Amino acid sequence: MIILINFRERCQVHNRIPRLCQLIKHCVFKLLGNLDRTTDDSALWLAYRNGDNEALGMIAERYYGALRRYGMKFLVGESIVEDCIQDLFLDLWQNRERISQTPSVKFYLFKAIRHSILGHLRYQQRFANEESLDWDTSFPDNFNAESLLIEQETLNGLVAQMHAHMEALPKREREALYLRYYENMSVAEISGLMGVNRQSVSNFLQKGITRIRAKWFVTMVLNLFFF
Amino acid sequence: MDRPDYDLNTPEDFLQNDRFRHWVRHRLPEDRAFWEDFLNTYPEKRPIYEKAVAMLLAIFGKEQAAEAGEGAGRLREMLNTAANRTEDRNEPLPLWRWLRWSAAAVLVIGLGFWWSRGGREAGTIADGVAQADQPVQSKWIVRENQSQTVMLVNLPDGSSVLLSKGSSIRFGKEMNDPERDVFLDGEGFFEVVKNPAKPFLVHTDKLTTRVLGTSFRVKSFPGHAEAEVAVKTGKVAVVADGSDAAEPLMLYPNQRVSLIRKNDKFISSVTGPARNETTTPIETESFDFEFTPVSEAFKILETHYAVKIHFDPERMNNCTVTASLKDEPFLEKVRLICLATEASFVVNGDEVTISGAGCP
Repeated sequence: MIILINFRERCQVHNRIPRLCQLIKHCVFKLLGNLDRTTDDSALWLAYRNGDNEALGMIAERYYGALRRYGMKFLVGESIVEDCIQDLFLDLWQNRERISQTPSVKFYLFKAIRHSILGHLRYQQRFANEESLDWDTSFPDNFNAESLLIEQETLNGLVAQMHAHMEALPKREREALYLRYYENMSVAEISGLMGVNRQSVSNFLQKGITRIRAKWFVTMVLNLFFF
Repeated sequence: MDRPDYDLNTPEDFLQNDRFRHWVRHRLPEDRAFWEDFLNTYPEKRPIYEKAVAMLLAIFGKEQAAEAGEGAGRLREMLNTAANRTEDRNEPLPLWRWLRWSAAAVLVIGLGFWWSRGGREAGTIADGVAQADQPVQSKWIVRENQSQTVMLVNLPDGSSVLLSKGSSIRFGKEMNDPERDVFLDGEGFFEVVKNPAKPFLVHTDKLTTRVLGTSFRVKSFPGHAEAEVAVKTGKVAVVADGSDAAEPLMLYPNQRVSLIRKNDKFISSVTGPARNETTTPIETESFDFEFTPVSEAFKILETHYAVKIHFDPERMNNCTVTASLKDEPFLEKVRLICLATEASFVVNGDEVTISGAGCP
């Protein structure tokens, strides 16, 4: 199969014998199995690197929502985030022969999108750095409490409190919390993504949560006194 | 691994639980039964459960669900058009284009040959600078010191940094921006190549230090309230992040500033030449050589920069150095010593190999 893939790569470079190349392409496709929604990331990535446009399309479909959501958190505007994602995938397609296999496609894409949003900020203002990256803490909207087995009023009150505490946290801590608990990333991945060492990511997470918790505790004690 | 459900005692426990996060995020009917059962079995844990849900919702923030499907579709279409365009270009190359490419290849090979010959005649001095391992796909290089001793990092502009343990540094691969920016987490001793046209900036989480070419130490571990800058030679400007004062604080040789974050304000104090327990040995080393045998000079470099220097002690027995290398970066120090002893050098990671014919 490796040989076939190599052949296939050569076919792409200079398609000398179109019929044979066509045949090899089909063989590789069969060998890799039919790509569908259940194919795992690394198989799709391999297929894409071997020139399978459909595989890259599937990766795009799989991660578009997550990338968009993450990008929007930096508050740079919808159209810019969408442009960044488009450019990212076009670049991936154009450079497919130079891209290597990656242990985590998700991590790769997140890192790339973060980098290109930072690049966009640099383009706008010359002295942009990590700190110029904002982090959105808009109030979580219309959550249905019943679907979480809680009374709506209780949850409304609690979320308002937690939201206020979140807003008081530094931007990078909020980003780390999001990546850890929404995107289920590991500390190692977050540290690679944000370009800080592991220890500081653990500190971010630890401090973020204890700070939310400490403030909540104070509010609770105060409530006990006043009501 | 998920803890068994009876072990969920604090909101953190809930947050760490994959099953819980999955439930709050997707609210699938098959998970609902599990959590209903959980709340019935442990009614005393309901308040903590509610807190954890609220915390998680606050971390998730506003949902952006709409539009996503449409955008993905558009992206797919675009990729398809891009693919069709490249396939059109895959036809065999016509003869004249082959010729054009071969001519270009001949030119490149010829230039390369000429270059390598020229390089050999000039010595192999430049070899070491480009050795830093470079991650693909990124314009940044990150170096982290996980060892127990200091680590030498040579920057692309020739400046050097002695990174303390547990610290990391990030810098541009080429450093060809109008400013030389480096980002430091922890502590590092910098010796900066002088270049008035390109200021050198050290960014940390608490303060930024700006210089044109000197040697100084910056210490700012994330999570610590205190940061410190100490100057060995030259002068540097320090700005605390978030301070309203646009006026930077100027520091002169042997001065030191400590910043302490209190109530979100920085309190700074400048102190004179007195040393304290955080002073590192290299800050007090003068690197003044007067007819010093090279072996001794190399020994001093080895101890301060945590590198290994290989040379032929017998051959270079008669070589001595007379120079004051107080604020030269590491590579510059080695270069100057080699210049004085008519030797050449190659840097590979933290090893330097010197080769020279010796001195009369």
